[in-house]
Amino acid sequence: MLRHASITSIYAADTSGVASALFELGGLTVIHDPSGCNSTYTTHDEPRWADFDSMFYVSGLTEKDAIMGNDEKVISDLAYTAERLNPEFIAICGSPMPMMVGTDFDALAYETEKRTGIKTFAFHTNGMNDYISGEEEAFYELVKYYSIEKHSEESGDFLVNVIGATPIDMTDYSHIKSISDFLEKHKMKLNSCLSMGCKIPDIEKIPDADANLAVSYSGIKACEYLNKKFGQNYAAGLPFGEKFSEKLADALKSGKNINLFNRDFGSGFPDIVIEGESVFSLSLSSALYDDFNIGSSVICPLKTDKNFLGKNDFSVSDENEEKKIYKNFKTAVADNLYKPIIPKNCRFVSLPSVGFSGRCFLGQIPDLSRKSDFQNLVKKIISK
Amino acid sequence: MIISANNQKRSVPEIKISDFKYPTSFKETLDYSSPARGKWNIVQTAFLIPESHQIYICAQGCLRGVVLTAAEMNCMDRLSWISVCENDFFDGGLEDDVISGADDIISNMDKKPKAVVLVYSCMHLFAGSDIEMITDSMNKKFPDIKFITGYMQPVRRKSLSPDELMRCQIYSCLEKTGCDENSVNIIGSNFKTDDDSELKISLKNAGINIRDITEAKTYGEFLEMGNSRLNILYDKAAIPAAKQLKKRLGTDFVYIPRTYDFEKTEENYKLLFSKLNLPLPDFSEYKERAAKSVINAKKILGSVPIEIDALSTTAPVSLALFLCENNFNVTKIYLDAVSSDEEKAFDKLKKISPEISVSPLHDPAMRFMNTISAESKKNKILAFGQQAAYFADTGYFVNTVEGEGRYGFSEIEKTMNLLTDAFLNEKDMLKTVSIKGLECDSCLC
Repeated sequence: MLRHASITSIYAADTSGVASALFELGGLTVIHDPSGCNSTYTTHDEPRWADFDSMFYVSGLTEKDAIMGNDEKVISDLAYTAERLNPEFIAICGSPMPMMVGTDFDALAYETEKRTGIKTFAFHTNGMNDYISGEEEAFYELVKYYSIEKHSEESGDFLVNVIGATPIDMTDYSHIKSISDFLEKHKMKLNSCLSMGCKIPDIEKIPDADANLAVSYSGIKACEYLNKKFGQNYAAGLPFGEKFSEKLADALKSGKNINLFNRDFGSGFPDIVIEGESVFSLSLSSALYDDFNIGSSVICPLKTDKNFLGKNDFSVSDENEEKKIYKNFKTAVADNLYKPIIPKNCRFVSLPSVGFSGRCFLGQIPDLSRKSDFQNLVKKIISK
Repeated sequence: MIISANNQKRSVPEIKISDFKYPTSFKETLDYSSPARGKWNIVQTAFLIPESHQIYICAQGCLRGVVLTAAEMNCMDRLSWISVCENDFFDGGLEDDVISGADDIISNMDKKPKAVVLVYSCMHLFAGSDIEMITDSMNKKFPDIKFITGYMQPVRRKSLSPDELMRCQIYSCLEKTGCDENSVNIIGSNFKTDDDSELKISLKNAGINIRDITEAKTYGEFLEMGNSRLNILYDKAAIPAAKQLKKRLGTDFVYIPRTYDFEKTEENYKLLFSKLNLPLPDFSEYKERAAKSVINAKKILGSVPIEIDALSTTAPVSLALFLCENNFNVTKIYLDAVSSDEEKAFDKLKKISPEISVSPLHDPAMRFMNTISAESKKNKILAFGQQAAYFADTGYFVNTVEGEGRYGFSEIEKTMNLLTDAFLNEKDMLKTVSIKGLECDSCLC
């Protein structure tokens, strides 16, 4: 299957997704890889790298060890490092080379845990999928292991966990603060945020909440698990605009799992298209329709549930497909690094994300959960 | 303020140089990468080929780093990619995808490049991809474009590094179409050699024309390097390139490694000028200036502790030795292993300054070096290099990698001036060192 691009960027990979989801938890996260994943993640996908002394490394896999199947090297390096650095847990994930030689990550984790006595997670990444896949597996494994039982009695507050938050989508902590403000405004309270501003005890108290909010597609699998295990309902979405935020709040309080993304804008084909992560883009599209009666399509180049997408939405994997789609629209809302493929007669509205352009436009990423940033973006979208 | 992921007290690896065993006393284990990003990567090196385009064929995770390197350099119009997926290994489409993907990318270009570097990953190495067949197909489709094979195969950690390989491959398009007796090349440095270095001035004074990829404005100008009579290199990473050019084109080379030692610099020049059958010029003026700059710098720097990292220059031990011999207070060197070029300098340094401490660059515990330095900071520390600046948490540092384009006696003079300037003028350390590829364009500046 050919997937290529002449001029646009590429999204962060599954390995970065795992590393980002685990970043603040005090664990030792290692990508079994020769070298490249190290600087790529820490330079482009992890805005917290210089501010937070999280233990993230690569194994330094060599040609000989890969060919000879010398798994002992990585196991002993993990054990040696864990003994020196005393992490809360160990996480080992894969990259393309281990995939090619068929490394058994579950066995690696088992052996490492046996030797160190430290909980060791195996993540089945291979560097060939997007960050959503990696985050999804990480969030799911974290809640499965740490979110065991309810701890506290009913507090009287309606508690909500935010699941699926990393800077790859959420950029920085101010975005989490805005979501917390949204919950407070609607008489709810943030219980835990997996995983920004999060430690292991915060994951342990996840079962104490009443509902879960999936702020990216990567959080949904964990939400479904929590729904089955503790009966917590969940909603996917971000609190953009007034009416969609109201709907999101109501859905959280409803006790049911509700898909809020109404993709039926009537019979006409929208003029506007939004490209990006599915929960983010669909929330923005829904908010535009709910507050301003503006219909828009969504292009999702990342892993998502196709049931979220409507007949005018697109799931793509290649630049040529994107080029063809953009020809049908008058306004494109997308990351700045998509600009070169936007046709001249299609107006471009900048909406960068760490997931696509890394730190290139970090200072220009709006927090759409904040009223002023949302309104500014809407002005740009609707101005002629 | 650095936030700690858990509240453990941690120590970093540190060893007295007197106890350090050549080539290394550090265990090779998990690999840490600091936020200092000034060292060039293969994307930046390959961009040195004028009028060229790069196409990377790798997994998404590997592509991400190279693509965003280009994006930060504002060079997205010079780099494209083809993603390798799991299916490619099952459906036999690994080579076909490269051919059809590259064909599509090049066919849709408004202006065709003169050269295209097709960069393959570790996966192609392990899958035994038929790269020659791909190149032949591309040559047939686009006969006016030169296709260069590049490798991003970090799994070959124990043989040639991606950096050394790329320094080889960028010259692989050179051909000998004649012999230009009055021209020499400087090869293998990512940086243009300083025009005011005595290396360049003395060659020019002897009527020698100097060619360098870093100065070539057009692809045609770059190709003229194929006809030069001698390749000069001062960076060890360029030795494989020089050997390859000797084998392929018959062009002799001379390796005159960077050093901060007056005698060795003189020896380097003797070697160079004897290769050229030219009389050795008089360098006394440059030597005097260098010596004077040492005295001036010493007056200003006094006994400030100086820390040096191995990525700041290709001769970090030689620099430390030179500074110690001139009574500067070198307290620390950051390196994973001592280069074979520097074994003698290292033995000498051990004897004259046994108290210098050595810390690795990539050991996992180095993750905490900056935090520990920030918490324990009492006095001003002067750092030479970005890594040293980050680890020592100091804004007083020389922002440099690989020695840039400095060479010879003039390098000593410039190094003294840079140290003095760094001592007097504090920089925003984190902002400065986090920019990728020193001297490259960056959208972050």
